[in-house]
Amino acid sequence: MFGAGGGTNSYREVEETDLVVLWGSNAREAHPIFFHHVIKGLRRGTRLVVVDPRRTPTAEWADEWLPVHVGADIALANAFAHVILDEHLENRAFIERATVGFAEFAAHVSSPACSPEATEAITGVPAAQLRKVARAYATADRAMICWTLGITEHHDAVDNVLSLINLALTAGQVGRWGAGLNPLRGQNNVQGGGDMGALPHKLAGFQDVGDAAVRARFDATWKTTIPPQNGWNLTEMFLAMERKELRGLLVFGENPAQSEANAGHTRELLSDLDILVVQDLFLTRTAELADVVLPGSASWCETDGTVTNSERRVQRVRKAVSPPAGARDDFWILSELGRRMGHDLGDTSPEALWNELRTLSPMHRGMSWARIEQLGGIQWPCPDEQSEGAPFLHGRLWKDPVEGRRAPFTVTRHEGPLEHVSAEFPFRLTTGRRLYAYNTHVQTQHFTSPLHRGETVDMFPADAAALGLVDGERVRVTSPRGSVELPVQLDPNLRPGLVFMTFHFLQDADANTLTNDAFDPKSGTAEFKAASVRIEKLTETAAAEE
Amino acid sequence: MDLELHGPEPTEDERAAIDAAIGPPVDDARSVVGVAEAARRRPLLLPALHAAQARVGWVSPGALAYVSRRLHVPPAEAYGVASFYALYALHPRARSIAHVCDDIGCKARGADALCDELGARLGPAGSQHGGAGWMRSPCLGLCEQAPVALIQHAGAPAREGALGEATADRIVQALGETERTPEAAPAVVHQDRANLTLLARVGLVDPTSLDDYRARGGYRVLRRALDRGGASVLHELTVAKLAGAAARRFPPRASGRPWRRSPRVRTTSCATPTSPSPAPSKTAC
Repeated sequence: MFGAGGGTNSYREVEETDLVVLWGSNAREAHPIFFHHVIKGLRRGTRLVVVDPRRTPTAEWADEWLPVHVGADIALANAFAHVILDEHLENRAFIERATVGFAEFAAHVSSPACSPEATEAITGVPAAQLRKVARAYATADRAMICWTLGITEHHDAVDNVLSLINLALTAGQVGRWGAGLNPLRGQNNVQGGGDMGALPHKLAGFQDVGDAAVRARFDATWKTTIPPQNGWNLTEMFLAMERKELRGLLVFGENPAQSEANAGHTRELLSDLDILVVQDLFLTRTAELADVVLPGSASWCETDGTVTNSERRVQRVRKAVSPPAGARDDFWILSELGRRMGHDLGDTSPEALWNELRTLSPMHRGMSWARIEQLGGIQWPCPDEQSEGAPFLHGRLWKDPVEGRRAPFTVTRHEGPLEHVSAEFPFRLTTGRRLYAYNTHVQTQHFTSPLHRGETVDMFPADAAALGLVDGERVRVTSPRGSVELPVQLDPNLRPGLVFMTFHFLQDADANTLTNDAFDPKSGTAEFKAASVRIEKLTETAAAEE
Repeated sequence: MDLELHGPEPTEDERAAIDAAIGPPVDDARSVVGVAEAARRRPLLLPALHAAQARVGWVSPGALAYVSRRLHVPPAEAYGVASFYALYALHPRARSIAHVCDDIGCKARGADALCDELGARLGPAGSQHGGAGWMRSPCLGLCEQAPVALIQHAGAPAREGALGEATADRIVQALGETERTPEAAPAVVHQDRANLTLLARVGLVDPTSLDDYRARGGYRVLRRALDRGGASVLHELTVAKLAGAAARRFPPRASGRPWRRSPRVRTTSCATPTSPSPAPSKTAC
């Protein structure tokens, strides 16, 4: 956010804020740890607004559910801003002191074409309801917007995020205790991975690869020369595989053969590599394609180190058990690969590596392991050993004059999903997760549970009835990329024309055979949330074939 | 809230009875019930459980689940409430039942002998035959008519009434008359009404009407306090020899310094002076 790659608030603030907007987030199921902080807030009077095409379990906790059409988030956010300006609820003092680009933004969203009434057909959200919610957001003492993949798994993901930032800037709802913008992380250490530089354009501590002074410090410590260009993100790697430019791949704890959109094509590309090495705990579908599989360790119990959660809190992880025979510590594997390729990485004990990071990443400098333990984790930035970290970011925007760069407004325009519903593919397919399964189900499939209900395509009851389908009947779902067969499940929490699948139960049906691999060039994330499909009754087909 | 309810459904009778008590469900694909709306529905829990039981004689798992779903009360909480009160049954029992109080007031007026006789005539407490049965009950709040039995006939409509100065004959007879609301003995009101303070308005004031309460002198003391003003009330508090809860709030000041107005002190609090004159009753505040 404004140059810092993390959410601006703490879990504690979620419990104490006045209004939480969960936009494109089914946190109740997909981020249960975060959501339990939301529930604490709700119990003490926080109001909750959920923006989601589906009436998810999260939406069922909401005071207001805005049933946005898939991919209409920018139109909705602009109409939201339209209301704030139309009703003169914007925070003028904040806008004038701390932001840039307001005039152009205001001119765009104030146009009658952006009003909630004019965009109702695009967004699916009743204008009166949107006005009520926008008013509540702008007039709340403290309000925060949190989002997840419903915002980012679109071809215009970055514009989606920018349009939410516009709202916070318009209302002055950022940079204060309980007010801010928070992308929720899907794993315990997604934040930490980015913080450590596992991004193609950043070095550790979110420092730009393109910055020569930054590179010089890393070069000196690592005794190497870091190339000045950005690397490839995952999507770009697959494009490079298509061009046969990328011929070897080390996959480390990922299962792209199942988690990528248009999975059939992904598997072809992976199979075509000169060498594929997979380091994982399990023999995943990706590992099955590998030339070499290196059994790694479970980072949460078999290694020492740190993780960083959604609230930027760096926490210690301690080794509790040794990996089973044959499995190795992940960093031992990487350093050994380095050594055998002629690069001695020196002391690679976890604490030595951490202390090296502290010399290179200013925002981690004050975080010794001893202090992390003493303070129960520390939220970055923590620039020195006097700092106790920061519960919320961008308090600087409220200084007069503002410290650092002003926050920019960005004009965003509604495009909608790339793939339109059509006579051939009349249903909108969106994908997501369920509470009781985890991503490609690699880790959650090893125990039996009555809650593992298997994959289904969920449909609005009236839609199913129109096709003559009953609950549990097997159907064929076909998108322009592929086709799967699975049972239908009637779900009144959907809306007409919308169908839903997860990608947990790949032995049943692989949703990512259907999803659209078109992606946002700015983020590299594919449009998992919006494909178009048709649904066919299987018995009829069988009857016709006989 | 996203309650996941599994298990049995209510019968049609139960559903109809509960809907009649709390209103029919809104079939709206767009509605959600957040924490605030659930809190608004929460007071309907007891009426909903009463309705279910009044129709079929007990609160079945299906009825409990339906009440939970309709009111967005977690089933564990609904079960906690239903299992707390002795008058709710969570297992099937006789559709016509006598709750015979054996609490201290009734025990002093022969409840044990009454229960022994019922045991001899109807079988042990909790048993049933012919759709009728009896059970022991904690205090029914009708001590002035002890011994007391509450008769309930489940059905549509349900019938219910309390027998004062109950006898085994009258209980057995009332259990058999399922189409008749048991005739309760008139409430026994203290005859020496002139000297009553706490109970002075009992039987005279409609307890659901604030206007009625005021017409009978309710809030008189508060009105007087407001007329006299804060300084005068504080003076009274200072010179009165307060005791009990009032004294804990306004401890006597040895120095004789007067009480001062404080934003945290509500001058409408009940203060009970130990003067010889009758204490203002709680209801007067």
